[in-house]
Amino acid sequence: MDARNVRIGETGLEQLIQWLRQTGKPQSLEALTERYVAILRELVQVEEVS
Amino acid sequence: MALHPGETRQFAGSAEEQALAQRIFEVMAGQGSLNARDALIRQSIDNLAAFFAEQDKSSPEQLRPRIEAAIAANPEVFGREERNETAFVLTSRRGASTARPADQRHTFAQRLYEPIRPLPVEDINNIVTTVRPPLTTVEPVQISNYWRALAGQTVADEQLVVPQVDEAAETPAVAEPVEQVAAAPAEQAPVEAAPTPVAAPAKRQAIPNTAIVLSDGAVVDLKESVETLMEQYGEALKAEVAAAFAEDPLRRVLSFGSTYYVSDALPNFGKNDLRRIRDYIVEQGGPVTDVAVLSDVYRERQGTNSFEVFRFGLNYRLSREKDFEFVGTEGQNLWSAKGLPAIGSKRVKASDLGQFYAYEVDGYDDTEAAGGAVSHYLSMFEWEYGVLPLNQAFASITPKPLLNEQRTVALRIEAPQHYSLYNAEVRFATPTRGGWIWGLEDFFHEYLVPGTLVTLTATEDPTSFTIAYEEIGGVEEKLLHFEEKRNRFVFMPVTYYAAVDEDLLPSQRRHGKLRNLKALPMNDRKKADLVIEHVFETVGEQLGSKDEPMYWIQFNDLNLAVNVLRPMSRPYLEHLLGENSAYYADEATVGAYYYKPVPVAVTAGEDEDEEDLDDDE
Repeated sequence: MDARNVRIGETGLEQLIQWLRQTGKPQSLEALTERYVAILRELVQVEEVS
Repeated sequence: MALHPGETRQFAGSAEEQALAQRIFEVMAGQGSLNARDALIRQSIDNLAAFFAEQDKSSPEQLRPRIEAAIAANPEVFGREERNETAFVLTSRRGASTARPADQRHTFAQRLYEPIRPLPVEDINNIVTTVRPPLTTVEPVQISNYWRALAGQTVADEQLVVPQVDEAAETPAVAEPVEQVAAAPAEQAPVEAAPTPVAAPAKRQAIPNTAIVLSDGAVVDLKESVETLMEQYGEALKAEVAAAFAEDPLRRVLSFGSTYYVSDALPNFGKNDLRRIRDYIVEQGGPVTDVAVLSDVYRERQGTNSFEVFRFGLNYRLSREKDFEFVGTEGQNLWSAKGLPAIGSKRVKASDLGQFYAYEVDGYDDTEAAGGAVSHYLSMFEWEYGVLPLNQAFASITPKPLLNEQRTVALRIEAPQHYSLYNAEVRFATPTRGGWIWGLEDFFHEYLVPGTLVTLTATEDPTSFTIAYEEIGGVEEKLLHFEEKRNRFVFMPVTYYAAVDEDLLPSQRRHGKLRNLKALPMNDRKKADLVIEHVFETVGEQLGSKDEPMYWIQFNDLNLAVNVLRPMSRPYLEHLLGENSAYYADEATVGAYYYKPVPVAVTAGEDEDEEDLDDDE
């Protein structure tokens, strides 16, 4: 995905919520943000490679 | 059964691993025979080992490493995950180790907010429901950006190019794209040639296709590592994530303090639960922790899998209820409930104290942040009502609020010299009102006198403190006392055992005129000028005539007397003396002030009345 199509706070949010659910316990904003950045990086870079 | 007719599955590894992988796959596909082809099937390695051991007449311990080897040799077919120290094998009937991601491109929930053929929107109010939700607290109505755009409201826009800001203010991550633009291949040229219209400045800068733009305009290049990005843009990114959850129309993620969790996985607390919790808190006689509620009311123990989720759910639910108030801090979730006895003096209202201490937020606080312990001389007012100012010094050692709307934190203050414990609370300052600590009325009255130096010391528990003072042999003195029944100040003999600053002790021996002070109503005490004038007139020396009075007083005496009626810092008192021309410094005596009241114009009618009265007399 082209990063210019990323809408921060919308793109990848579903995956972040899925991750939060899978962790099975409440998470800090710090941990959520780190994970969200990782998701965005994955979305942008994975598709670039393919 | 899991494969379509004609399909055959090839497994990797040695012949034995291939055979075992085939058996594992068949068993798991059979287990999930009713699953969708893409849905993940989970089975623990322990169970598989036990199953195959029974079939092969061998031991599970021998089979376990062979199973691990077989699934490791086929990562595309089998996934492996650990939960609570138990290893699971994952696969699907399709033979994939990961589930196909859910297609969220056009969900039913999304269609509710973004219909294909929306009705015309004349006024944003038309689409905001006026139906009161069946909750005690009304949730904010979230409106999709789609509707906002239709109604002409501004929405956060996606920007392909950004205005170039001051170079000095740019972050390194922004500098990098600039270099890339310079050496950019032709594919980026069209972006520069026909930029999407955004903000006004003509000088624009293209951003690479691995960079995203935050709401504040910061350009974040995702090529950097997560650690680097968090270090450079951590706060801005956190704000974006928090805002995304807060603005989510479906409220899928909820927050309490700085923790977040999905709303649909939270336990439900009904009215009966809330009543039980409230009864429990009232029974305890003071604020209690969330852990205590879970332990005593729900028999939930710390360390169990569900405990943290249950705890989050409890805290979130109580925070939405008006009958409960959060009075804790980070790491210490304390809850108070309607029906608990109030902390603090009933003789002075919180709103009055907030206005008295407003000088703290107006910049007239002369204290500095301290580490661990704060010493403070008690004024007459503070002693009388058992309060301490929440100045910078006390604020630096007392807990900070966890929630945005939090107004108080409960404290437990121990007096080790007397083995006594007091429930106190911090009232936080607001933009217009100061903060204070109260609940120490009994301690002050029983053991201290005004002018005592008390030391409040923090402990390892953020809501527990100790209070101490220097003890001495008994001293007898006539001290100022407020006689509540007759609403006046009198001197009364007192024997005290606390070391005091003689200058701050309201004794008859040194400050006999203090008895002339009137116990002004609290509303009048909020008018600082009125209090200062009253102190000049009652405690100061009258040097003028009856027609043209002029009063003189030492600053320290003025400060002491003013602080009998209301709290006031020295800088604030100096400021008030300096801004009013009726007060001026005595150049002959350092630290002394004059007050010359502005003559009041007397009308002819009043003169006549006075003459009439005189005649009558």
